Amino acid sequence: MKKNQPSSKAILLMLSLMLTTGFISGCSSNSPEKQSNTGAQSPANNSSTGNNEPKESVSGDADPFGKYETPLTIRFTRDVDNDTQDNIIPKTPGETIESNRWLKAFSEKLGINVTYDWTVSTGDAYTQKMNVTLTSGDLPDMLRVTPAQMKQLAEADLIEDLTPYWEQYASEDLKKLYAEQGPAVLNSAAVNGKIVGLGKADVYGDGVYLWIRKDWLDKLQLPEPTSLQDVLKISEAFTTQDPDGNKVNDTYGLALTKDLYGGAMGLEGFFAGYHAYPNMWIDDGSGKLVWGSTLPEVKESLKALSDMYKAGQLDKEFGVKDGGKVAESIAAGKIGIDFGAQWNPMYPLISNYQNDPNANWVGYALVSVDGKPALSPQRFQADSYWVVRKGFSNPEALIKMFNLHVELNWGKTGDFDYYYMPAANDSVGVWKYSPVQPASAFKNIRAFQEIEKARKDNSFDSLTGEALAIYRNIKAFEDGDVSQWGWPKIYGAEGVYRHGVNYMDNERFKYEAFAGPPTETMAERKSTLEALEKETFVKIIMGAVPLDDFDKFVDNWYKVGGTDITKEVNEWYASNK
Amino acid sequence: MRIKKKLDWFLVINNIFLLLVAAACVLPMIHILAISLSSSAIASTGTVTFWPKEFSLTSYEFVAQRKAFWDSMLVSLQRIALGGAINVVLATTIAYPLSKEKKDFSFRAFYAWTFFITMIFGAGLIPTYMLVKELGLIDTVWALILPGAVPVFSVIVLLNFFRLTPKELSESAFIDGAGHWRTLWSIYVPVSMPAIATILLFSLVGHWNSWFDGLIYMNNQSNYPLQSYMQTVVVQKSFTTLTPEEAKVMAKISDKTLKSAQIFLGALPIICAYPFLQKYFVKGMVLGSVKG
Repeated sequence: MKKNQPSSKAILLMLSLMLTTGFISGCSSNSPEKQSNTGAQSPANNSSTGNNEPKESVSGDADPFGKYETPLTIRFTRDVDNDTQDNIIPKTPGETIESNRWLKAFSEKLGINVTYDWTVSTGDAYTQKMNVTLTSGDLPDMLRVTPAQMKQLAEADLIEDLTPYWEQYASEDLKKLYAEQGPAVLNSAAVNGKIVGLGKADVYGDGVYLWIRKDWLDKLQLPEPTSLQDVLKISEAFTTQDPDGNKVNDTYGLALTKDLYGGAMGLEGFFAGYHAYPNMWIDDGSGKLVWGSTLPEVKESLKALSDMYKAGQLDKEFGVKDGGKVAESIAAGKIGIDFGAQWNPMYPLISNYQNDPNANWVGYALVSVDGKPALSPQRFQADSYWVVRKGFSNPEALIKMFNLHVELNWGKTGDFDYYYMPAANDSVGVWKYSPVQPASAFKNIRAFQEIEKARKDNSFDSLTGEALAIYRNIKAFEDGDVSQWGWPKIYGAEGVYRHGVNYMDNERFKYEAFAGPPTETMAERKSTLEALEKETFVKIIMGAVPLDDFDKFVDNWYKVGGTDITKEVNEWYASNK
Repeated sequence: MRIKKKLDWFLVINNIFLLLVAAACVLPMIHILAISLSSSAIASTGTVTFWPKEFSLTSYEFVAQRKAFWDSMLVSLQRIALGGAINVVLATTIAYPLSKEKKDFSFRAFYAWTFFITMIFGAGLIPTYMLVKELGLIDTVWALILPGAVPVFSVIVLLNFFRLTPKELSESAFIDGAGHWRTLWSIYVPVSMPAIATILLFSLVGHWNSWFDGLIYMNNQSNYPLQSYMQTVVVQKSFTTLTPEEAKVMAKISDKTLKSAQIFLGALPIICAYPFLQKYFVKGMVLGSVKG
């Protein structure tokens, strides 16, 4: 009895929660129309504080750094991550989210006063909160929204067209930054030919690498890998030759999770060795887009993976382990190969080192099966865009703020050591105090190049900006601060970025070709298709179904929505060439 | 003799079963405690089970300095103090008239249904949010308390309990000249303490555990109740969508010991309150539901 009653209440509660959360997502799709009235009322409240420059005067005085004579108050919302809570705020006495060096800079240099309607923690909480805000109709002046939200807002005509403002107000540096990884970065925010939002400039990331435990290689006297065949051999040796020397057969070759893909412990880098690019849209060579997972090269890679599984080189239980669980195996020193981004030493590889000081992970460039260089697959990962509420008096203010952020951090008049990672504040990332945070995709690789040059000329004194901040961390590790282990792994003489430079110089990036907001059928079917894909691939790797089920999967994929999505994606591709 | 043997078997199986159920409740908590007391390096390998390895108190020291944790703890304490009191007072004053017979209270059925319907149908999140917003409750502790101020389920429990109370008690009170208020506070409430303790416990646990309303109604993180804060600490980002910046943060927050310490400390107050109210809990539930 005692147990029964509260649990039935709990079920009721859960049911109602499920209903209500479902309600958010259901509601957000049709609510913009409903609230257009309220949305139209609020500009009046604000325009009084802004200057009276009418919107049409875009062609007038278009100074990218022009200061507003009458201070302009702009309502934002923002998320605050744990790094800000735990490190940045404590290390910058006197500064808060609402009052800090960045907001002061915006106010002094641009005449823009930033206020926050609300602050919330990063991730899902922000999206939920934004959903409620959008449906309630009281939009802040500038909002960071998901691609889907952006599309809905644009279609309901609730946000400004930023196209003319971008042309007029974006500084040279900012334009360069957004052109670095191709025009798609900017155009991804185009709805009906108008750019309605500004996303991150570094959406594609800067490379997938191959991380291997060098101490195991040395112990088993294996050469560094130059081809995928080498990697397969290494994986076999790591499994069968007891690299950790504990006389127990308890090690695996390759790290993989039930999600198959990911920035750490993902399989993209392995697939790329077969010139297969699953989980992204690629041009098939004839100007048509196809979903990479459906191509024959993927089948070939799956065969290799299932052979590895049969030989015991993969965790038997990978099909139920998420990233956190596989990271535990890495920490416990059970795994020797990991495909992932440059930041992998920061997480999860460092946990291995903390338990075993001999663990020496080294990053290598991706290798291929046929001698042709493997391209690093770069998915388009835009998760948010900045948009401006329809009717706001000064939409260009957003672009000016972007300009200033870039200028103060990396520009000629900037002060990196005050605005980005000031040494005076223990090099915490104070740039996070800025509500908008555009950054170059290749800034890290460039910082590596500077450090590398200093290493050659022994001219560390001449380092400035980001390179200097990074060099300090490397130095700290050399002086015994083990928590900085990741930095030399990325930026050191043997750092992974020596391959990043190679990627960048030789254009060894395979950028995802589709970069638009989710299409109609995608919104409906994407999760079904993803589930189908993962389930099939996991089963094939585990040998639960024969390899030829891959062909059935391709048929199914097209049948349950893939055909429509492919058509929509190609329409987008044709109109955005 | 035979009968005795049969009984024994029942007892054995029953005991084993209950022990397993108890273990399923207690072991996760012990596991969390063990992780929170281990060193973070060893905890990241996932090998800590029910006893700490490389004993360390670092995580508790870190939590002690984490202002956001204690801020939200305060909000939660404030919430259960206010929310618990309001829930109990309203439930009592509503249950009393509804426990009367139709001849004493002619619109009884109408009122009873009015309350009962809210238990089955909700307006949905957006209308509720807008109501709370228009009432100016956003960012105040009242946004967490007023929307659920009348716990209908508790009203029903209490109502049935009141009905079980011998009529002679209230009749004699009326003969002695007491009104309805006097009867309620001096007769019904004292004899119904088990039921009231039960609904108080419901309300405390409910308020302590809910996190979604805090997330939605609070515009400033320093106003989060503890569980909303914990949700942001505990919920892990999916690895497929991790950005480099988030990964760097992950290196810090993926610290399992820190998470576990906060989970444990977060559960502690309610664990402490439980034993004191629990003895009423059993009695209250049974009595309230016999004639339900």
